[in-house]
Amino acid sequence: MTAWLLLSVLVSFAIGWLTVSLIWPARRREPNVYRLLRIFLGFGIGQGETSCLAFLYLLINGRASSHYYVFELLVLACVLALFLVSARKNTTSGPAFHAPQREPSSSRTALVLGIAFYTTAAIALVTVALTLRDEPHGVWDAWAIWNLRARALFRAGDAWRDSFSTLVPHPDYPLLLPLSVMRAWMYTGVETTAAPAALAWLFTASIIALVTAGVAGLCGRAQGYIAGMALLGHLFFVLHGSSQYAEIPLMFFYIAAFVLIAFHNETSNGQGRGALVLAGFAAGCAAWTKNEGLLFLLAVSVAHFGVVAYVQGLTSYGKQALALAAGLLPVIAVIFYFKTQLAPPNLWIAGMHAPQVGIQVIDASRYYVVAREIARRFVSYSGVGINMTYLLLLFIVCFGITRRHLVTVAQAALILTIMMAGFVGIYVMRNADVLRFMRFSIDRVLLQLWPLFVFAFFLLAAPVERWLTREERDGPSKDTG
Amino acid sequence: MRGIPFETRVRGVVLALIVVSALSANVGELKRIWELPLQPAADKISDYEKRFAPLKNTLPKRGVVGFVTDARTRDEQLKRRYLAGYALAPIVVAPGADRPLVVGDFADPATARFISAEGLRVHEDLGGGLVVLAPEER
Repeated sequence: MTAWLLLSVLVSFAIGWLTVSLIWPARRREPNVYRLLRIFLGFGIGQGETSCLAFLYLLINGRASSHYYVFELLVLACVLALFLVSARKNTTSGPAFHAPQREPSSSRTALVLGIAFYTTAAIALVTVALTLRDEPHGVWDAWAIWNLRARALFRAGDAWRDSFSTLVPHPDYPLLLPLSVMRAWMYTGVETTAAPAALAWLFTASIIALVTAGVAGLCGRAQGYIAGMALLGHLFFVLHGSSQYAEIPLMFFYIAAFVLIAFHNETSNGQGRGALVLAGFAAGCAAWTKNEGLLFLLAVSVAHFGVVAYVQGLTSYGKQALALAAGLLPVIAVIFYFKTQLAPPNLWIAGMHAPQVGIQVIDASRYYVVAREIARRFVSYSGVGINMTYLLLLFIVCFGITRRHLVTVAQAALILTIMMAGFVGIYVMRNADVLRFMRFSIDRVLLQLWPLFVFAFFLLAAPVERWLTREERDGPSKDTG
Repeated sequence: MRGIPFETRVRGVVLALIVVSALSANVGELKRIWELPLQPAADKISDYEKRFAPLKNTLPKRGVVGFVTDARTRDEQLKRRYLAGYALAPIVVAPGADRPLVVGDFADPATARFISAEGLRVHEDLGGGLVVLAPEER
């Protein structure tokens, strides 16, 4: 069984890595951090692709089957063939790597921060693994929604459509996570809690890797390590890694989409839009993971239009938007089919009544309650260590900011603002006790945006390496920006 | 320390604070988790599944069954119904007793007798407060 589970992960990874390498090919003289990015992007993109394949398989075959792996191996063979043909062409005519402006690494600083980061990441991932061992079915939403749906799809045979009965919890929730679990079970032939646990662990590790390698690739290794430490310093992120909630893959797809957009902005030099195609696919996967992903899609589209059209003009925006749409289209087709043919209407939206919503929207006290609850999360902290909000504030005051990645940071700021506005809007409009509703969701909602915030924050903050190398070379400077 | 400028020291302290804060938070959590196996088993879901396993032979392979419980709070009622749904999937577990077969999950087995006075009879008693109920034949 373990061998089959491993095979399911490897096949998905291989499909993902080959796709990433095909669409965003390696260039000559590319730093190692890009290989690392492709590996971790490959894992998540692969899970997104194979969950769509598993959905297609259910529609075509009519039921889950232990022969499913043959279908995926055929797809893998096709992607491999395409990759080999493409790689043959690129060995002679591939474009040279356009290096982003980043600080030269101070080996001593990077070494110390690197040791601290790898130690913390290892401890965090061991913690996640041990918690998964102790709670193999995950926490409430994991067994009540996501693993329940995976079980129903896997066990129901040709009646798998019954999984979307209005009598089960949240039948309209998208299927990326349940299908990823179910496809692993189709490989093993039996249900095993090791499948959702392995996915939770791998997605958590991939988020840490993407944030760290992403910042390192654009700003320097020391800055990347500090970003990784800040991400892990918010303990709720680590604790959530073992919950088996859909927030884990959702965070992965948010950060994957944005890291790819950032690398397109910073390294493409106006040529090649492969990273944007993949970013579109990752954003689509976010919407295929949770309904909040649809808000993310809207936020990415608006932020991309607002910043790129303003900075680079409408022609350039049009070309880039087409690339994003090309990656998005296959997943959107799957989501559209699911939402229109299988899923019942969303309970929350169906339960909203215009007159009541109208009254709630103009009720200032609801905004006050929402703002107070959000602010409380930034200010208070009961765990070990120090609230990262304070430390990041201190960091930006002491190290200053850089305008080097302004276009990317502006996009991130717009995305975060739109997402927050969307969440506040939902809280305000929901026909329920706003405090009770927030109590169950606000921590997770803020967590969803945490990796993206950390990534954008460390692009905005002046690189640690700039200061350290300057200090080592020239002594202290008054300039903090 | 005398030769190191003030700004450098402050920046070094900020970096150290981030590193130490993240490291200590994670070490503290690992220590807590590491000590958990010494405490009673945390995995209550697997226990619940074992308790529900005999029901699979009694209930149909698919379809909808009702669910009643003597849990007092709404959250506890919801939790028990969702756990039943998780254990019995793909059978859909609906709240209430208006189904041909109804799963009863009672902390107090005597409650099943009370339920029988509500127009339901015990179709099968699986012990431990777990019963399958059906409407009284008239």
